[in-house]
Order: sequence, then C-alpha cells, then structure tokens
Amino acid sequence: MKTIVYILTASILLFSCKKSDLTNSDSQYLSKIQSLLKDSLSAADYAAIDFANIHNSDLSSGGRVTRLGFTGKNILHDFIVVQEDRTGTITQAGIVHLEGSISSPNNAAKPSFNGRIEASTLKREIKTSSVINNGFVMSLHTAKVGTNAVGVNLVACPDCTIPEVIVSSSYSDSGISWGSWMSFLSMFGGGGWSNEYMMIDYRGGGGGGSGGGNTSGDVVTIDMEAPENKPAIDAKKFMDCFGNIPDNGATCTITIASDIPVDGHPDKFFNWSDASPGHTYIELYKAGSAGGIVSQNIGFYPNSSWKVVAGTNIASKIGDDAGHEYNARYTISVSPAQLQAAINAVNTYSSHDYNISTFNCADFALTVFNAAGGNLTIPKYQIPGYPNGSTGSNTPQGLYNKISDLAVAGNANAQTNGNKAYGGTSKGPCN
Amino acid sequence: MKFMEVLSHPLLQVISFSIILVGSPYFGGPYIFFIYRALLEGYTFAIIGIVAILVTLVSLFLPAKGYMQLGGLLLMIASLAVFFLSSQNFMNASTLRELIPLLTFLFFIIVIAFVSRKIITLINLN
Repeated sequence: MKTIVYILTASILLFSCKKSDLTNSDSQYLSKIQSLLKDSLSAADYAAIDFANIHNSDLSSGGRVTRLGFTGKNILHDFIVVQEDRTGTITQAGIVHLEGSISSPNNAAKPSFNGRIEASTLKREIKTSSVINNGFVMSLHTAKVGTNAVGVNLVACPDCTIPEVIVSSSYSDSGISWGSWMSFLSMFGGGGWSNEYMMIDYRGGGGGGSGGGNTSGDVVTIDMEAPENKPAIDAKKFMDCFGNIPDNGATCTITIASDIPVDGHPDKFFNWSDASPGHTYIELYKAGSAGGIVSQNIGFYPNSSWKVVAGTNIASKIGDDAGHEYNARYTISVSPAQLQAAINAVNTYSSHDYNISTFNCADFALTVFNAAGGNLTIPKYQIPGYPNGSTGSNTPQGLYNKISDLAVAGNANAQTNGNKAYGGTSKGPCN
Repeated sequence: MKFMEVLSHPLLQVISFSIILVGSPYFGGPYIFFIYRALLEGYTFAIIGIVAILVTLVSLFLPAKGYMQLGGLLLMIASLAVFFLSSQNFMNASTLRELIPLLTFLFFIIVIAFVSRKIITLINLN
C-alpha cells in the first residue's frame, strides 16, 4: 500500500480560523442561501432554520461550506450544509443528522469516532444513512474480511484506509484535547471522496444551538503524498492477477481517468509549478461470482522524464497509479473477453516508446480502453511546443472535456469532479 | 588561476544555471526551457530566473561586475528555490534522482562555489 501522509498543515488551520465580518459579499451569500433554502426546503424545515446560528468553513480549494442550525436543536448534530465553489456557485446542499462520540480518547487504545449519520437532500431524500464504525461510514463500504481493523473496502477512496471521520489530538498543559473531523461533502452522493474534512465538534463537543452570528469554521485538507518518482512495474505480472479469477459470471469494468494539470482549468496544458502536463490512466477491475476481486490502476510514463523535452521517441515504463488523483473518469462494464482484450493491449503496448505528441499516457490509456470496446474518441489538441502535424495529440485535457460532455449529456458512467478525487487501489503483481 | 576564472565566469554561470535538468515523473527538461515556457504565463520562478540571467549577463559590461554577478547568482538560487519549493511534494526535483540531471545540478553548485570565492576575493581586495 502506498504511503499516505496526513498533512494537517498549520497554515490551513490558521487561514480557516480567521474571524470574518458580515461584509456585503457575506450578506449577498446569505441572501443566496436563503433563497435556495426557501425554494428547496419544506415550509416547516425552512421556518425552523436559525439564521443567527451559522458556521462558515473556508475550503482550501476555494469556496466555502456553511452549516446552518435549526431552532431548538444542537447545530453540532442537526444542520444544513451548503457548499459554494470558488466562483460563488452553490454546488450542493443537504441536511445532516449526526450523532456519535470519540471512543477511548484517553487510554492506550487508538481513539476513533463511532456513531451514526443521516444525510439527505433538502427535500429530505436520504442519500446516506449509516452507522459510523471506527470513523468509517459503513454504507459507503463493502465488507471485506481482513482489511483494516473494521474490514472495509470503499468504492472510491484513495486507498480504502482513510475513514470519513478522523480524530486528531492536541496537547497542552491541561492534557490532551481530542477533535473529530468529517468529510461531510462525501455524504451527498456526489460520487467521490472529498479530502476537505470539517470539524464536527468545533465548540468543544458541547455548546449547541445558541451562538448566533457568523462564525468561522475549521477545515483540514487531507492530501496524499504524490510520488517523487514512479518506479517501473512489471505490467504483465499485474495483469496476470486477473487470471486468478474465473471468467464465468465475473463482473468486469474498465475505467479511464484524467488528471488535468491545473484543477478546474482544463484549458491549461502544463502546470509549470509542478512540471506536470497532467496524466491519464486506466483501472481494470474484475470480481468473481464466487468471490475474489482484482483491481489494477496503471499508467504509461516516460522512463526518463527529462528526455521528454526533446519531443522524440524515448523509452517508456508502466507505473502503478493506485490512489492517483483524477478530475474526471469514465467507467464501462465489459465482458471477461473484452477485459482480456484490454489486458492483451496492456501487455502489447507497455513496451511501446513514449512520445509526448504521438504516443503519450493518454494514447496508451485510450488504446487499452478501446481494446475493451470503449469506443471512445476524444478531441485532439496541439500541445504547445510539440505540434503533431495537423491532427494534434491525445491529452488529459481532451479526455477531461470528452468526459465532461458525456456527463452533461446524462451519461451516468461519466464522472467529473470540480476539485479532485482519488482512484482506487491496485492489487499489485501476481506470479 | 585560469581555471578559476573560467569556472567563475558569468557566461558559465548562466549556462550551468540554464542546463540544470529538472522535472516531474511526467515531464522534464533543462531549466531554461521551464523558464521560457513559464515566463509566458507569469510564473514567479521564471520571472526571477530571467532577471537573474539578465543581471548576470549585464555584469559582463559594468565596472562593478563582481557585485552584479553576485546579484545574479542570488537571484538564480532564489529562482530555483521557488521552483522546487512551490512544487507539490518536490515533484520538480524528481529527475535529480537520475545521474545526468544530478550532475547538471552539482555542476551549478560548483560554479556557485567558484563565483562565491571570486566575490570574496574581490571584497578582500577592496
């Protein structure tokens, strides 16, 4: 399993702890929320909102999340969540009922959050209703014996070890203080894991519905450590794992994912701060009818990235892209035979030369995806500095735009994320 | 003496700075390429880097060339610092795990040492 680093930066806490005044933009924002809630909530729910009891949390990705309490209820347990993106657009809203506490906070056992959550739309349509076991919202997981302490395996999470509720501690002369943080934005069925964790007990676990006025909340962004370098993997050994699951009755999918260089800006071809042109990778998945799951996330890389600048053919390698960031992805169900065709394509093209304009990571992923019957063509663009005749090149930006178009057209298999999400795990090599 | 003059020459300073091979697992190349491309989009490291190069080159034609060259050198270091420190998890330093990129970086460090020695000598003479 790749190393996951919890980065709880002091700077984020610092910025998220700023006291804010009710400025004009705040007033406009509040008016916008009031208008939305009036249109969407039932009359009884709207009448019960305590607009003097508001809690704002600034997101590291831009935008903010507002929690509003109900009159007579503890805002820590019953509240409305409204998310606004960096452009000022309200992207999602819902109602949350949350109860629970941190277990074993002061003994040798590892503390964790246990409780229950119910998240629904503003019209009270349940999106998530689940117990929270050791921080994991169990309805988002499928039981898998032997993984982690609680035996969970999530559909869409970085590595299936990060719970939706995490517990932090702080030390002072008076002892240890515990805090719990939750990825509320993952609870409304948006189809992705949010790495923005908001403090649950921001009033010290007590308090409740009084308060009044706007307060600023706390958010921590849990980020994954990007690999400094990608070691080459033996693609064939990764593919061999699929042979361990019988084809008869197996469920197979293939996913193509796009990580654009600058989140939210599919028009940018490079992120010069990170020397990244973005990335495209694929996930092959097979679940046997009698049990057993194999999932492999792989991508195509230059063997020596500094040689890419020449624009010529250079040696390539296949990298394990487990937990890789993505901004859009497209998944299709395939037959075992189609999956095998994709596996054959991986084995064939894994030794193909890398060329930034004629055969890059996007070309590899598309070739494999289409070998499985994906039938996907994406718009080609001329990469600045690396023109490819009059046709242009396949790029993560082109894939992102294509998936966005599919999503807009109502294709449920196409998923885009305003910010970013992370892919699943890889089983690794099999002999 | 001749050897030291060559290794501390402003032109060699610019060249050693420009050819450092940097990049992420996805893309890399000489630092001057990054400066050129990023300058068009207004990145800080690129602006500092191009100013550093210009200051160093101008030092060839000015009487107080040693101090100008020192200024250029400090700006070059600042440019590289911004470039490496601003990247997510030091991805920009990814290529330095390979021998040739590492040698280009070490070459620049050697040039820094010789330029520094030259400046210290100048200061002592004054």
